[in-house]
Amino acid sequence: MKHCVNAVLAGVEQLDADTFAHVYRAPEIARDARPGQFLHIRVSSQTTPLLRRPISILWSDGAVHVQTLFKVVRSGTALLAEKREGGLVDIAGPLGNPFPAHDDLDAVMIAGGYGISPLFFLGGMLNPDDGRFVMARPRRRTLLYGARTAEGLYLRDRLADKFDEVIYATEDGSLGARGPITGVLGAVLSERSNIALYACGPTPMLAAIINQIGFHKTHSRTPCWLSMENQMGCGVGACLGCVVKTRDGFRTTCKDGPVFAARDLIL
Amino acid sequence: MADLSARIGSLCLKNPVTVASGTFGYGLEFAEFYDPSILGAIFLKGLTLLPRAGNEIPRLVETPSGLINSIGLQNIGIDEFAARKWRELEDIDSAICVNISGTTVGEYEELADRASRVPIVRAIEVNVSCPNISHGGVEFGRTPAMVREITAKCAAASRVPVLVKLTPNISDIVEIAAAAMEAGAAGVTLVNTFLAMAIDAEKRRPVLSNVMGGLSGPAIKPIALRMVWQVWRALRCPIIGMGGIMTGTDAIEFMLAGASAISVGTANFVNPAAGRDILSEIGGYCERHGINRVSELIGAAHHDK
Ligand SMILES: Cc1cc2nc3c(=O)[nH]c(=O)nc-3n(C[C@H](O)[C@H](O)[C@H](O)COP(=O)(O)OP(=O)(O)OC[C@H]3O[C@@H](n4cnc5c(N)ncnc54)[C@H](O)[C@@H]3O)c2cc1C
Ligand SMILES: Cc1cc2nc3c(=O)[nH]c(=O)nc-3n(C[C@H](O)[C@H](O)[C@H](O)COP(=O)(O)O)c2cc1C
Repeated sequence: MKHCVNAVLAGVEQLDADTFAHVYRAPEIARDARPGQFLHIRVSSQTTPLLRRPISILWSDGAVHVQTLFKVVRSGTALLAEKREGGLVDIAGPLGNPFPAHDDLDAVMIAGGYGISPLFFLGGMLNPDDGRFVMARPRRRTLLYGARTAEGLYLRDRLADKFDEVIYATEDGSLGARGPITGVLGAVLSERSNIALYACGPTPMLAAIINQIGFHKTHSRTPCWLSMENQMGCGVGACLGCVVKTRDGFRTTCKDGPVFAARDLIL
Repeated sequence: MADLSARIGSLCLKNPVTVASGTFGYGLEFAEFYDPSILGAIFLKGLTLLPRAGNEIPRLVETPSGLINSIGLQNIGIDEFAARKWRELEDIDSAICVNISGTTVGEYEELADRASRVPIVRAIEVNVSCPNISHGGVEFGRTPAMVREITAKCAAASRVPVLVKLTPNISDIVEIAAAAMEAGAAGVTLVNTFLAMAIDAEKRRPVLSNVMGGLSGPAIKPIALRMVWQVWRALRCPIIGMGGIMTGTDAIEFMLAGASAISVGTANFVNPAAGRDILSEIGGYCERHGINRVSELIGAAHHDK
């Protein structure tokens, strides 16, 4: 069930110069939130900027609080970063479809930058020792995590209880393998079978993942779920502003997504 | 509690708050936020004869207090609507109005006929902001002659009242509204979006894939209000007013200018319960001002003191 609430900003954490984590007190939203779903946040009570900003759910305790992690890009996210603890924030959510989960397949999650957010949540929900409930019980949970530099790899100290294994890549080589994370993915795809892929990151990264799967014929049936980013209007499938091209024609990112099966997408 | 009922010609609404075509999907997208049955009317996403894929993205760009869209009329087409989609709306106790768009007069006529046969449909809204391919792509809504023709044909073909949704991209809104009313419209809806564009200075390119789009939201409110004022002053005809309405006060202003009902568009994106909130704010206004019937407000700003 979707709700629109004035949530108390119960916690603010600054992760680096332009990255923040927020904790909101929003029980109606926290109860229903699933990994891959997003919040639609009104950043200003004025009319500029007019539209809400979509931000993934980083975590929900299932009862009271939801968390986000976001990067300041331009004016909307800058206004969000100015919010102070104890203030109210107008939030609609949870919106969109969550990641499906596969029980008997090893989970390989691929994150780019702040794309870690829904996968952090998913990692927890796939882990009987960590999640408040378990969506599925894969034998192994692997995170492949890439960014331009080591600073762009968020929450590094908090990944151990969500994932059995974390492999990093940075484009400048400052941490983990040098180059894009999809380079690491190639090796994983060559070595492993019986896996399910879950990914969130910039669109070029998602397109590269689709390409990689194409190279590995053994993975033609591997489930692969991609969480897309797209500029949104309404957030509920009404305005048709945020469409992506799929084999089935244009589909909305906000309502039909943001999680899509890789095989359906035309990027 | 004031009497909130509204009339647009022969179309009776339980209250003056409606939601604008293209901003409320096919009627159910906001249903988890509030019950759409509380609305006076729901204008569905514009339908065409054949389904349309719409434009490439970017389809939206934010501007100061506004939004430019170039969705390109993505819709399921009249066949799908008339065969199946309407059944999802059967339980909504609000006047369902179908917004239609065509590229020839014949298409509009066929759409008006077919949409008006769908049992739940209470009115047809003719979107005249579409290019007329028989006239070199000039929008139908640009000349009184084309508006007159299309209104007359749709009114003859439809079994339910026909409203004409006017484009503001003209020099004299009154002569266009007059053409629609003379040709048999039950009322006019004004206004549609204003032709606009945005350019990305860094990329040195237009932002929208379609280059131009329609501006909506608070940025257009003063101009939309002025147009409602002019049409009411000249014609005293039923008007559904819209353009940047965000609050109950905005809605009241449109009624004072001459609107019999109002439509909430872009505000639905900003506040998913905008329809509900604006309705309750109108009720509150009537109470505070001792208004017994909301219809007393229609055109009241024109009255001499
Ligand atoms: C489903 C989804 C989940 C997201 N999750 C996160 C997250 O967890 N953390 C995070 O930091 N960011 C996330 N984003 C991206 C975030 O929405 C944008 O960075 C933000 O909207 C930028 O707003 P702005 O005003 O700062 O930028 P501006 O460029 O001024 O924004 C102008 C318009 O473009 C839109 N826009 C700009 N960049 C993006 C983008 N990358 N994706 C979608 N819309 C954009 C804005 O919403 C706004 O409508 C997510 C996007 C989507 C679609
Ligand atoms: C995303 C979007 C889609 C729209 N689609 C239609 C449409 O299909 N048919 C139509 O007649 N008007 C359409 N409109 C125009 C609105 O119905 C309304 O006339 C306009 O947005 C002005 O009102 P507002 O400022 O309250 O949004 C659309 C507007 C928006 C923002």
